[in-house]
Amino acid sequence: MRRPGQYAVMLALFVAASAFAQAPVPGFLERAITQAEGAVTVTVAVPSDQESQDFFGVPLYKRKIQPVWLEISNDSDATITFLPLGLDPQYFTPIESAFLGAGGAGKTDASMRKFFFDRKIDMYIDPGEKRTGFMFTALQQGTKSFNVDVYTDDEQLINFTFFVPVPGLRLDHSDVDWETLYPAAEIRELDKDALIEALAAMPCCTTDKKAEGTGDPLNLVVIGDVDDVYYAFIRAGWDETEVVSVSSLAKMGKSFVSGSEYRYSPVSGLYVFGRPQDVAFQKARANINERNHLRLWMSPLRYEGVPVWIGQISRDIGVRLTAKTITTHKVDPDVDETREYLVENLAYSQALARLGYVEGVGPATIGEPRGNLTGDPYFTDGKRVVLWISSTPRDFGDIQDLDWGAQPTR
Amino acid sequence: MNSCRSNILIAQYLGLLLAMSACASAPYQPADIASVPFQDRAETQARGPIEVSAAVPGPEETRALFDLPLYDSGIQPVWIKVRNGSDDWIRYAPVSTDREYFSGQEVAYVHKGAFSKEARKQMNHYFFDMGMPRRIPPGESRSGFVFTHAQPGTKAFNVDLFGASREQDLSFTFFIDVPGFQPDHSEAYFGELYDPGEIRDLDRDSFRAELAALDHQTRDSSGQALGLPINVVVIGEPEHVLQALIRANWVEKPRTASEIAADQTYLFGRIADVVFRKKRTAGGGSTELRFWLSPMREGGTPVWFVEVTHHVGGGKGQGELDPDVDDAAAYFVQDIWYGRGLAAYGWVRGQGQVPFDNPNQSFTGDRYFTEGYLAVMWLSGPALSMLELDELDWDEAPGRVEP
Repeated sequence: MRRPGQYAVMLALFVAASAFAQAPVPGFLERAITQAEGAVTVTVAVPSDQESQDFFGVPLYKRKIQPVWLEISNDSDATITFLPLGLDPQYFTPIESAFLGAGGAGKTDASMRKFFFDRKIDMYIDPGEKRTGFMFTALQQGTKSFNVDVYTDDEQLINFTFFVPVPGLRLDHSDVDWETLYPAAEIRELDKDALIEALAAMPCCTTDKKAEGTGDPLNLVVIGDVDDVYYAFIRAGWDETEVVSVSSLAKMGKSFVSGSEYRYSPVSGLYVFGRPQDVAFQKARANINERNHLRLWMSPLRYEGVPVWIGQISRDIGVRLTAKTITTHKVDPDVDETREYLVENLAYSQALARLGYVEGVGPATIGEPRGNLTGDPYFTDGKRVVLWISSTPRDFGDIQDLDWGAQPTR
Repeated sequence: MNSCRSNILIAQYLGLLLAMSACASAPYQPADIASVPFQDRAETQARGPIEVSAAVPGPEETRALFDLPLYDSGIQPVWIKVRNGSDDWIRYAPVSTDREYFSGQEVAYVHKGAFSKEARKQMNHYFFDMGMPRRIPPGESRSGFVFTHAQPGTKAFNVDLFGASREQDLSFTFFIDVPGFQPDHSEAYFGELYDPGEIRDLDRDSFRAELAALDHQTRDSSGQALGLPINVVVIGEPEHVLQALIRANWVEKPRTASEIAADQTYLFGRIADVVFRKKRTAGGGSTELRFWLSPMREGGTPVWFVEVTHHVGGGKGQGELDPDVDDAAAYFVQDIWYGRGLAAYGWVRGQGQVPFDNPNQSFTGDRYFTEGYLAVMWLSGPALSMLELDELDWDEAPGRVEP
């Protein structure tokens, strides 16, 4: 049986026993996050690219493998079961990770395979015991989100949800100072009727930098605190976005030349309130290597004390030629379909508390579509969806569907 | 819009003459939906005042319906009709049918190449009109298509509806056979594998005792050289096993005649009856299930022996078998459990421990180590809550004790 506080000693022993790992102290443990429920305590930490390389001696991130360190302790009087599949159904096995990390099965030796295998977290934790080890998961940079599911002897599933910042990316929202975005005098708390009116009166569309032109329709309203909004989109499978920097430009260049994917690629600025988006998310699609893009701006409005955001979502469906930029992504002209997809995406990931619709975009029919700044046509019923983010997981069936006078009919 | 001209300029510049076809001027001529009789195969389910019908047109029917070879692009339309006899609006969620469904405008855009500008416009409108709407008003019906990823064999999907009444479960599951696809197996095949005299029906205790004493390893065709261990035993009627696997996104692996001829992995004197595969990692890693129907029955229900193996994907590791066959078994148990198809399970500790430091080599050259456990799983066709699992008090689960 392992006693509390022993993992550092054990890790040191593991490292000493390994011929190839060179890390003296796993620094990622300093960022460990702990949650407890009943008799079960779970601590997690996620090594960065460099820390993974240092600890395992091979470039796991390069192979899109991300180790997650776990410690699970069981203070109950019956065995509990940790379910790796609940953390990541796409997990890599330890030996597979060794093979891939080393660049081929032939490049591993028995000691390396054993090093990985011995660090796998156990599924079963006996009463009064604690288990420590790694899972090898699909890479998610920026903020790593995952569940830890534990099945107890009295046939209950305990579900822990973690959001773990992973060093290594420079994210757009980290650059925003939320406290000083608006002077205190500009912040307005509104009641329901005033909010509906204010949302309908917001600009229909994004603009260019000079606040000219009419771009993509602002068909999203999100109501939620800053962290809850990030977590909701991350839990729903959206990736964060890096700012333009020497590092991100190099990654973009590499991705362009090699055709590899750069999930956190900086995106162009669209303008509302005279500034580019505060935060952008992107979501890879399984087909045709295209993505969904989503941009949010925090407004000075507050509802029930919570910030109100306005936003825009678009779905890439292909590449087309333009006069200005040679090529650009072709955006799905059925912007309502993309909007409703987002509603379901957030609902199925249990991130929605309430849902409603307001006017404000203005309708355009498929026969007489409007155009955005890059000349993509779109058609819409002209409504904005209002999405209340839930700070705790919420079942689809428990979402409140509010009739704010602009219910879509299709 | 002069995209046609700029396409040609670019094409000439790059020497990509194929792009010329992008400016063909074919008219768009979809068949009248009533003239394509795929709806005759529609299956209908009802719950209270809500009725859902679904049908899946085959490749040829789809070509006629949309004037496009959508199956060739990996796109399979699913036709859905919802009759809402309740007093409230209900909402259909297309992501329940395919998490990564294609939007109608996307399908049209991807196939725009062959058509004139006027025909493209007509096609965009057609796809919009034929799409299944999300909202169904009280007392009315709505029908239309959702564009999904093509699935060979039986098409399995959900239709989730949400209404004002939170009490009612409005998730409908369909399994629909699609013309033009023939899966490997059939009920008849399984019925003819054994003579009635060969089949032994066991009660649960003698079943467990027999599994513990069993030599569970596959062999080569000569029956001499040893293969990998059987690490899972499944109990279930064929259609229930199929439903549980499909719900957990397992896909039957179609095998060509030459692949079948080359298969040297034998049990009960024959190669696997059916093989399923699932993509596991983003790096191309997969997990494979080889099923053999055994002559045993447990409480009258067929018993299957399964060899579950992880395959390493991506780059130079490609094709390697993960030697940790116990992880593969544990993965499969959890996968079916999360897929709401596991009714009961237990572990049987067999005799075949193989230590990590001294792995065995199968006749195919694959190395493996194992603690020698069999995961024994009773599968459910209809979806079960994860909390309805019956854990049998058999052998202690495999721990990470060094064998």
